This record gives sequence, C-alpha cells and structure tokens, in this order.
Amino acid sequence: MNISYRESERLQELLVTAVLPNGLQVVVLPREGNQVTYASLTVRYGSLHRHTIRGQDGHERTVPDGVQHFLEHMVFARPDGLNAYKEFEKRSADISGFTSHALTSFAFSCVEHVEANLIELLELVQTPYFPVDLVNAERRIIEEEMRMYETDEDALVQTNLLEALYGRDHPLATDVLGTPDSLRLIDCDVLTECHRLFYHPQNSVLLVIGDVQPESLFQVVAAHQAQTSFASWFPQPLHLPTELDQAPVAKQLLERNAPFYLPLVAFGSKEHMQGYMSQDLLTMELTTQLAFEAILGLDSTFQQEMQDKEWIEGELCMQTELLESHGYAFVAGYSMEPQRLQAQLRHALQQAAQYGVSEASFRRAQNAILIRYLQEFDDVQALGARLSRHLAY
Amino acid sequence: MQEFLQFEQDGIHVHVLPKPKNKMIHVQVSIIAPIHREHWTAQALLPHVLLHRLNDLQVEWKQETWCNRHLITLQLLQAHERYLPGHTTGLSGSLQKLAALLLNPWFLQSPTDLETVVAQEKRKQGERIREAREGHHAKQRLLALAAPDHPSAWPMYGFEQEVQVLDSTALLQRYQHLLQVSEIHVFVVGAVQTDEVCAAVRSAFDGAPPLQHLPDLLIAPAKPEPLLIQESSPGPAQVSAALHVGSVFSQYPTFWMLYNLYSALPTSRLYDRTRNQQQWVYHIDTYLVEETGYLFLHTRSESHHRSEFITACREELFRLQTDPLSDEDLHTLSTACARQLRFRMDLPWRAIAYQLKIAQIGSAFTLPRMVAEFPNVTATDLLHLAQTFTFDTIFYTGGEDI
Repeated sequence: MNISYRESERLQELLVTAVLPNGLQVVVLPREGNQVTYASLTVRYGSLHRHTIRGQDGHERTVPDGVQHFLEHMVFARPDGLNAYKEFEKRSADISGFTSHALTSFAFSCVEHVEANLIELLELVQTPYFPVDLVNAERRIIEEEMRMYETDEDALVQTNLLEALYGRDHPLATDVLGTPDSLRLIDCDVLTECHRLFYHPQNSVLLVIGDVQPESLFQVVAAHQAQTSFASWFPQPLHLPTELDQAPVAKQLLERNAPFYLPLVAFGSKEHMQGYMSQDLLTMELTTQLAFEAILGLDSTFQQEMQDKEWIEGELCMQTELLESHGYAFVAGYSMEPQRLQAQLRHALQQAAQYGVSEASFRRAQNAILIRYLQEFDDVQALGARLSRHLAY
Repeated sequence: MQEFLQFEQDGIHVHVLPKPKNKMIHVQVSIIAPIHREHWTAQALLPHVLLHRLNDLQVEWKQETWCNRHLITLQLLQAHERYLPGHTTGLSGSLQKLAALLLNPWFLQSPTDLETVVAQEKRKQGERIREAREGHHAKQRLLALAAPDHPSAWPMYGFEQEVQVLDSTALLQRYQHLLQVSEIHVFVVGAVQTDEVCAAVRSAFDGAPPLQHLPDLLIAPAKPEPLLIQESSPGPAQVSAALHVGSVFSQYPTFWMLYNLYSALPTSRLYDRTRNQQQWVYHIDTYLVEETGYLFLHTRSESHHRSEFITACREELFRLQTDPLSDEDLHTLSTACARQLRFRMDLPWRAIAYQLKIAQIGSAFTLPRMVAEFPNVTATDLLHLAQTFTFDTIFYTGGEDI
C-alpha cells in the first residue's frame, strides 16, 4: 500500500492518502483533539451518468432517470431488517446520503466508535440488498419526496435555469430524483446492475477527518476490504452529453408561474469545459467565485446599489458547478424588478470585463473567500462535504 | 467534554469556549431585553434604526423573541491572525467594534439624522410586516392560533397600525431605557485565552450599565378546548399540529429525549411509523418552541392521510404506556441525544446559540451536564412527562377535501 503525505504549513493541516489493492482511495485528514469525526464514502455516480445496462434477459436497456438517487435510498436497507440510521445512532453517529449531478455520497459524523462506524459504512454501501417489497416501499417514499420539492423555491428555480441553459432533454435539466414515470421503471434488476457497475472500490473515495491515526486506519480498512469481493472492474464510459455543452444557451428567458410571494429570479451562464483537465477545475472555480464576489458580492457596489434601489429583496446568492463535462454559474435572488435587475447585472459584468475590477474590490473579495474557506475548517461536516467533492473529481 | 467558562465582568455576562485548534474567532454580543405589549412595536423597530448604518458586512445581526424577552444579537467572525496575517483586528478589535455599535450608537453622534432614518425605517418596517403576513410560515400561523397572547406570537416586526405613529425621540429614549434594564452577554469561541477575553471585554465595555437580571420566563397556558382549523388553499395538502408541553425546563433532559421520539430522527417512533412503515409522509418538520410551552409538528401529506397522521401522533404519546421503550431503545435514545448536543458543541455558532439559551433557563442545563443526565432518564420519566402533553391546535391547509 502506497501512502502519500501532503502538508500545508500555512493551514497547519496534513492530508494522508493511500490506494488499497482493490482500488479504493482512502484519504485521511488527521485533526488531533477534534471531538467529532467525519467519514464519507463517495461514489462517482450521479444523475448525469445516463447509460445502458444489459439485463438478466440479455437485452440492453437505458437506465431510467433517478436511478442514482434511488440507489442512495436503497443503500440504507439492511438484510437483517434493522434500521441502519438507528444502528449508527447506537454508536453515537449520524449518517446521511446525497446524490448530485456527478456523485453519490454517504457520510457519517460520530463522537465515538470511529472504526466500527467506518466498517458499517463500507458494509452498508458495498452490500447490495434490493428486495421487491422494500424497493416498492421506497418508491412511494421518493414519490412523496418529489411532491415535497414541487413547492421548493430553490429547487424549482435551479431546475428551470438549467433547462434554459442546456435544454429540456439535457440530464442537467432533469431532477436528480427522476420523474414519476422514470421511477416506475426502476426495479431490483436495474438497481442490482447499477450497483455492481458503479459502487465499485475503484470508483469510490473514502475520506476520514478527525482525531485518528492515518496509518492504523488504513490497516483497518484494508483488512475489511480484503475480505470483501467485488465484480472484476471495467470502467464504464460516462455518457455525459458533452456535445450539448458546446451548444448555445437553449433559451435566453424562461418564465414559470409559481406560488411564491416574491418573484425569484436566477441569471446563469454556461462555460464550455472542453480541453480543461481536472487539475484546472479548482483554479477555475476559485477564479469564478472571486469574480462573482468582487463584481456582485454582498459588499460590492452592485449589490449595495440594488438594495438601495430595492430591486432585490435580501441577498443575492451565487453558485458555480465546474466539471470536466460541463460548467455553469448563476446568481439568484428575490426581485420585484427582474428586467431592470437583469439589465443592471449585464452592465456590471460588461463593465468588469472591459475595465476589470478595482484593487480594493479584488482584495475584499479575496478576503471574503479566504474567510469562507477557513471557516469550513472549524466545521468538520462542511469541510468533509467540500473535500469529498474535490477528491472525487 | 469542553464547557463554556462563564463569569461576570464590569456589568457584562461573559461566556468563553476556548478552542485552540480553531482557525476562526467567533464573537457574539447579545442584548436581552424584557418586552411588554405596549412597547413591542418600538422595540422591534429599534435594531433596524440602530444598525441602519452597518456598512461593515463582516458584522451580522438578528433579533428574535424568546419567551417574554427580546434578543438583539451582533456577530463578528474573524480569522485568527495565524491564518490570515494582516487582515484581522483580533479579538480586542472585534469587541470594540461590537460594543461601539451598541453602547455608542451612530445617532448619538449625529442626532439630526435620526428623524430621517426613523422615517425610512418605518416605511420599510411597514413593508416587512406586510411581507411577513403574506408569506406566513405554517409554524408562525400555528403559533398565532395556539398561543395568540404569548409574545412569541406577536408580529416579528411589530403591529402594523402602531408603526407609523412611532416618534424618533421616544424611540431614542426607549433605547436608552433598554440599555439600563437589559442583560448584555458576550460570547467568544476560538483560539483565545480567558485573560485575553477579560482584558478585551473590560476595554470595550467600559461604561456599560450595571449588571441586570431579567424577570421569569412566561409560558403559555394550554387551551381549555382543542381547536381544529381547516383552510382551503391552492397549495398541496399539509397538516400542522401544536402540542402543548408546558414548562419543561425543570425536566429538560427528559423533554429533550421525548422530543427525539417525535422528530424526524432515526429514534423517532412517529417518523418510523408514518414514513418508513406507512409511507404517508416524506419528512416531518418538528419545531421545538419550548419557550412558549409548545412543540409544533408540520408535514405535507396526501389529504386522506392527514387525519391518520394526527391519530398516529396521539397514539405515539399513549404508546409510552402500553409499549414502553425497551432498555436498548432507551439507551439508543440517550446516546442519540448526547450525540446531538456534542455535535452542537463542536460548531461555534450553534454552541453559542445553546449557551444563549442556557443564559435564559439556568446553568443546570449546560451541554456537558445534559449529556451526563441523559442516561439517568427512565422510561417512567418519559411516560410521566408525555402524560402532561396535549394536542390543542390542529391546522389543515390545502388539498382537495377542504
């Protein structure tokens, strides 16, 4: 087992990485004295991964939308019938999962029994268990979840924005949960095959942050993995529709009626990512964040002016997603004056493109972002969520 | 487990949680003022006027009511000098900045601007009141139905008909009076030394009013008759319920465990039954508003499952008698509660928020003491406390059957 060490003198942090014989990448950030330990097992399998599988009948079929999220739910089913969440609670741990466009991640935080919880996490994620009755019950729960998000303002505005940028058929514009129709097509066969293909150690990263000794933790995980068998791995091509990423913005304007008290508006742009390597992504993400912060951030002239004119209600929020397959960034907020806000926003961005930003704005933005990142180091769960994402891509 | 160090200094209640490895220093100053109905509208406007010129966006502020108390909170987050050299004013600078905002507000230096600012803020406050009313959250509506006379049910931004008649001079006098009768609390979490905090507090709060202690907390009484309200709405079917729990602070660890049996947590029997077994709901929002004497439950559910959900809520209370928790379940529940609080202690703002609550209800319930108490709570304790709870307001909205 090769172990590598990366130390940051400025942050006074150490990142220790090992790759196990079965391909599982294990990363440890030791934090002596930390009360809470965080661990995540992240699988590079998200809603963008549209692909085909060969079923037990030998026929190829396209995997229905929402299968990644369905799998995330089903991971918590245990063959012994016990409630997985409750089992973690017995060991002072709290476990959860989430599915995004690019990955599915399972994480726990605990104050005791780190090793036992870690083994349980590996067992839970790597052991497929999809009995028909539980799959049917979980489908009803996900249908309820879908209904809940029907009135979720943030989810609605983001889905609409992605539809405007990429077009209705692009997987980015399809809800991570899938659709009611696609849910009905997900069965034990599909779940089993997708789990076999994608929930493989070579496609996973295990991250641990806490008061642990990295080398001994590697031994514990390696011993467990040596006793677990997996299908021989063959890398699946990621059928990300990159050709659509080259296309122009699908719709310049998309308006939908929704029962919100104030209109919620989002302005987005897409980035053509062809040619960028994964090591460029972090730099690009930081650069985009810096530009947004300097031009449109909370303390910027733009946002102050918009608040003074009462063209926005509350603060604008900004989000970026930059992967090798696609990239987009958007600004969203409540406004009774969306057209005026849009015109002013374009003007501010054009001015910045033409004349740049002032040194003072740049320093302020840089400071704000540094503080945001430093703050995450005091919140092990926030740090873990960010690191998991960066380590996976 | 670490605990806040608490002491009083020069009229200020000081709470320090040293975390030597933290990269940030969290500083919070809270004014806790008593409230009365006749002054509430003025008090609700005061922070907006006081912090009108808050251009330093590193400072965040909020106001809230907690029982019969008004909390005005300022927060400042700074990187430790070690990690961002040259870009931080340090603990002392943070406290100076926050103390100046409260004790030496801008309108004392430029009183001529006060009238203009008050006029602006009165107009904005009117808009905030209307927006809050339109965009009413289920919990707030339920609170207004369940305990209309309790301060927590008063409009957050004051009473609309009273805002426009507020006068700037009276507002200024109200603020000066409040400073005399309020408690001032300082909270610091980060890589700091206690004597460093003492010196910074002494320097920043020189001239602060004498130490104050507030009147007792006011808990709303239960309704004599239960109330069922049904409201048609184009939105999805939802159900909210107010469970009157009374004054729970004397049995806080027991109450915390009971709350866990009702929330959307793995230990919740209600959640297990209505979500995992029946699939009636996806999530249950549980709002612990213990300062009012209520616990609120809210969920989205198909119309035909709403009454079943309420029945399940009632039955889960009785179930503690017919099907008491096993020793193993009790142990899991106790472990889960301890875990939640230990997580809270690990997150600076959440640890401060809890410590602020402790400042109201008494230091018998600090996080480490609660964690130590959970294993002593018995199934009988849970049953006895649950038997005092009553559902007194149920609210159905949306759906096809109304």
